[in-house]
Amino acid sequence: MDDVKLAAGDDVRGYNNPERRDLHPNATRRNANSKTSLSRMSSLTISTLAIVVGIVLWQIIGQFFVGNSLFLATPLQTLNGVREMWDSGALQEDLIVSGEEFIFGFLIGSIAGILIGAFIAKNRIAKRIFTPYISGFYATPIIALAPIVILWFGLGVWSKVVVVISLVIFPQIISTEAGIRTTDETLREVARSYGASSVEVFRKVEMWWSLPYILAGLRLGVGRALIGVVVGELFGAKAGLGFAINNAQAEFNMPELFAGVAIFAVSGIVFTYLLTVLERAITPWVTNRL
Amino acid sequence: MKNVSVEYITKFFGEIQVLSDVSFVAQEGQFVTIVGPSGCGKTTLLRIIDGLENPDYGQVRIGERIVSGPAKECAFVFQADSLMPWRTVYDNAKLGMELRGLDIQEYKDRLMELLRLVGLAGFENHYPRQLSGGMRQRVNLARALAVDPDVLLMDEPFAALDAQTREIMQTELLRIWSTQRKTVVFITHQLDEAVYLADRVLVMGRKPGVIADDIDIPFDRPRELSLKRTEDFGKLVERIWGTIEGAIRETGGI
Repeated sequence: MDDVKLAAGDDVRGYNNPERRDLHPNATRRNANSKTSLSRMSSLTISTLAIVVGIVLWQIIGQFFVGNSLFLATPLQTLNGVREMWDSGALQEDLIVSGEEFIFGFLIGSIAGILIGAFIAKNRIAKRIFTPYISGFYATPIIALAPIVILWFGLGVWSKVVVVISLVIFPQIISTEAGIRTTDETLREVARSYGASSVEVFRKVEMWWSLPYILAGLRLGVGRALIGVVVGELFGAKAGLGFAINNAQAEFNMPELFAGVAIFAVSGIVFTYLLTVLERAITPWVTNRL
Repeated sequence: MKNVSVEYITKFFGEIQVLSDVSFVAQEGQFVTIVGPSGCGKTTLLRIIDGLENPDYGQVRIGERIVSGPAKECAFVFQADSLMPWRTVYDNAKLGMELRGLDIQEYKDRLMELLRLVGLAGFENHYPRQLSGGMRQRVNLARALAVDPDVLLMDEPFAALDAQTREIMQTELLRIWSTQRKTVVFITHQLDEAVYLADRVLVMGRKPGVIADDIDIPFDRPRELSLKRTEDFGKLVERIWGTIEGAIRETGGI
C-alpha cells in the first residue's frame, strides 16, 4: 500500500535509511574541499598513521637528540633486539610462557567475573555479602600482593595466572553487575507480560542488555592482564617476557628491554583491536562506538 | 464468548487508594478506550487486567477464566521504546511467540504477513534505532498481534509521537483492527483519540480512580480523520472534558 509506505516512512528525507546515514543531521559533514582531511580516512588508517608517526619521532629523538642507547634505544635498535631474541630461540619460549599466563588468567578471570557479577546482580543477599570485598579488592593494589602469590603458587606459570585473574576479575564483576542492574525495567516487563520466567527474563533481556558492559569489562581486562603478566614475572619466574625484561635490565641491554616492552605494547594494541572487531560482530545494534 | 469482565477492582499503593470498585465488561470484539486525568490509575487498571499486577479486591475474568498472573489471552502494547535494541524488527516481532512457546517455523509466514499488515515490509532486518517513533510502535503492535491474543491491551501507545504521526497511527490502528477484530482496551489521555478509535469510551475520575462516565460512540466504521471535525464528534469530546474537568476540580487541581 502506497500510503502505508509513506506513513511508515515518516522519513521523507531518508534519515533512517541505513544506506544514507550521511543524510542524517548528526552525520559528519563532508564536502568537496575536505576530501583529503582526516575525516575521510577510515579509523584504521588514521590509527596506523598515528603509530607510524610515533615510531618515526621515537627514532629521530633516539638517534639525534639522545644518541645513547643506554638511555633510549631507538626503534631500529629495538627491532634488532627482537631479532636477536628470536634468533637465540629465547623469545619463542618466553612468548609461550607469557602467552599461557595471559590467556589462562584472562579467560578464567573474565569468565569467573561474568558469572560472579551475574550472580550478585540477581541475588540481593549475595550482593550485600560480596560488595565490600569487591570494592575493597578492586581498590587495593593487588599487584603489591604478587610476591605472596608467588610464594604460595611457586615460580611456574600458575602463580602468574593467579595474579592475572586477581587483576581481571574485579572490573569484570563490577561491569557485569552494572549491566544487569541497569537493565531497562520496561523491557523486563515486556518479557514478563508474555509469561517469561525469571530465567527467561535473564536469557532474553538482561543478558543481552549487559553484553556491551561485559565487552567493556573485557577491554579493561586485556590491559590489566598484560600488566599482571609482566609484574608477576618481575617478582619471580623461570621464563616469560617479563622475566626477559628483568634480565635485560640487569644486563643494561636496553634494546632487549625495549623489545620486551614493545612486544607487550603491540599485544595490547592487537588484543584491544580484536576485541573491537568482536564487539562489532556480536553487538551490531550499539551506536557511538570508539 | 471471551468478554473481559472487570469486577469490583480496588487497588491500594500503601495507604493511597488508586482504584475504587471499578467494574465494566468489554464485549468480545469491542474497542474500548479509557480516558482520564493523569494519576487516575488507568495504567494500573490495565496492568491488573493483564495480570501484571494483582488487585486488592475484585477480579478480572476473560471468558470464564479468572486472571492470575500474566494472562495468555492478552497482549500488552507498551508506551514507546519497549523494543529490544539488540533484536531486529523481525526478531522483536517474534519475541512474544518465543516466550509463549509457539513454533516459530510454523508461524513464520503469519509473522511476515503481520509485518506487512502493520506496514513494515522491507524493514525486517532493521534495528529499532534505525526506525522512527511511529515505526517502532508498529513493531510493538506486530509483536502483540503475533501471539494472536483475544484481547489487546494498549497503554497510551501513541503518547510519545508527534501530532501528525499520531493521527496516522490512529487510522492505521483502525485499519489493522478491522482485519483482526480483537477486543481492545486502549488507554489514552487524548480525548479526540479516545472518541475517534472507540466503540465505547470509559471516563475515569480520580483519587481514587472510579468510572465516572460510560459513553457509546455511535459513528459508523470505517472512520475518516475528518470525522474529528464534525459537530457530533465535538459534542462527545466536550462531554468527556466536562466530566474530567469536574473530577480534577473536585480533587483539588492538577
